[in-house]
Amino acid sequence: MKTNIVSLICFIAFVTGGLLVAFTGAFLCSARRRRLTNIFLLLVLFISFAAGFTQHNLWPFSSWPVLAYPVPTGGRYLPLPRIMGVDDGGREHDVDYRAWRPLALEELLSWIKLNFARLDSSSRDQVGAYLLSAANRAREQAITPAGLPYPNRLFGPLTAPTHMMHPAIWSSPENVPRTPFVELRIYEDTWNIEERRLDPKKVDRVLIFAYRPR
Amino acid sequence: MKLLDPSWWILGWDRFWFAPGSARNLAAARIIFGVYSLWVLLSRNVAEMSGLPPVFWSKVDATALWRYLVVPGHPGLERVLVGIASLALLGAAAGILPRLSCLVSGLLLYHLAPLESLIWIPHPYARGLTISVIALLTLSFSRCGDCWTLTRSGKGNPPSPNSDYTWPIRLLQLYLVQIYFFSAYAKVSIVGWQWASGPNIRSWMLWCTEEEQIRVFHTLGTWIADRPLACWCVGIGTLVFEFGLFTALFSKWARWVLVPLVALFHAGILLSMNLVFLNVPQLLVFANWDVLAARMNSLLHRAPVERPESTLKEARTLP
Repeated sequence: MKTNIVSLICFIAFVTGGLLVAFTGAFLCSARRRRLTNIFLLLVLFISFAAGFTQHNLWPFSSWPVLAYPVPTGGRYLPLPRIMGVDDGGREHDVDYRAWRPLALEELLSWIKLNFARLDSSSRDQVGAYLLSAANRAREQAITPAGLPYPNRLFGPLTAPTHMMHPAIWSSPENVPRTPFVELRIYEDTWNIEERRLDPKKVDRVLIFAYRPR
Repeated sequence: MKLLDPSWWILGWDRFWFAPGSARNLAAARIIFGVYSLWVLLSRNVAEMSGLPPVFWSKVDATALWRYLVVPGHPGLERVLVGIASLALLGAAAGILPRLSCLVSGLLLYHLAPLESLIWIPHPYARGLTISVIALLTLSFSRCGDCWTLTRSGKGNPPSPNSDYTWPIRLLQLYLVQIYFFSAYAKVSIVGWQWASGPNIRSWMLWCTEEEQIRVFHTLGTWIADRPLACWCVGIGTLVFEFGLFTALFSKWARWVLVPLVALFHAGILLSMNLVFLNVPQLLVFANWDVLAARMNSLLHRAPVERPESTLKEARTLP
């Protein structure tokens, strides 16, 4: 909460300072205009370096903590959600990342990791129903000759990718499940990276949620 | 002893921010950020995020919503705002009311960009529009419309070099190098220097190539993971490169060597770790657009490069 308020104050200060430089510049002599610009520059330096050095993300002045955490070398990485569709034969299928649009897969998985356990059962069912319907809608689109569309049809394959790459597993129609999903399951995957290097199937999978419409 | 002399610092400050600079560099920055931001904005479905079922928004802190003036459940309104932002970005790139276009698009992106991740995190860094927001606003505060615009005033020869064209470009360059500097600083301050160790890099490579939901490329990542020396080189090289890029602000040599290497650096990260960093085209603000324009001109007219004295002067100064 504090960070949100401080970030907003910093952003307002940035915009106000910039507008002052832009609009009062024409009415000031060059020395005063230079002084005003200097104050604005100092303000921007202060905000941006404060965000970075304190590692408080004052977006859009970011602290950029990119990959700034260690991966456990010997142990297991934190559990990672994985969403599966289940057909009427009980077979589980991975779902193409494009099915969750407008949600990017990494945003959806992070939201599940952070918030899903805190929801009551009726809210979880709402999420389950939404995701199941999105997965089925995407499955139907994927088996058509046009396939799953890009977020922007104009850009097509030149659409800007998200921060994390994801395999487009439903790119060819033969990889798309033939029958609709009747159930949605969310698992948590965890593994030891050294063990999985030797055996890619060595993953512990725990079911945390299943949704089947009544 | 020079360092203790305040006048030395004042002189350095003035030389850095207010050396006479070219209007072309500022205009090029406006076009780069306009086109780039439009590409990223239209590649996302930010308006539809507002229409997600309310349960997805139920755990979002009210201050985070207020901070960005986001009211979930209004995808139609957000679509209109995306449309206005797109028009403003086109205006910024084409030079139609350039300063107003930059201001409107910067403010709207401040509202729209967080929609992508706001359901779980209030700061959408590394998703492509962070620098765009502050860069477009910075451009709107500056004389970015004096050159390369569709309006009559921006056509013809660019105005003579002026300090008003320098400080905004310097700020944009600063925003970009801060990404790398603070990324390295965060690694060292949160994890420690052992972030650069071979075992840590091996773990990162393995995790990124084993996680099936992001595994698109895996050959380079596993190749590096299997070679301790390569892991150490990647770790140390990353920190040296990320900290070292700051020198591109002050040294022409560093700009020539390090800035092009950024593209290679991100290609390596993409192929080994499946992580995309979209901001690479923004590094074109480090280019000297006077020289590039002169070369382009000579190519188009098949004439030897003729560089007027003013251009030579500009080339010596900035960027």
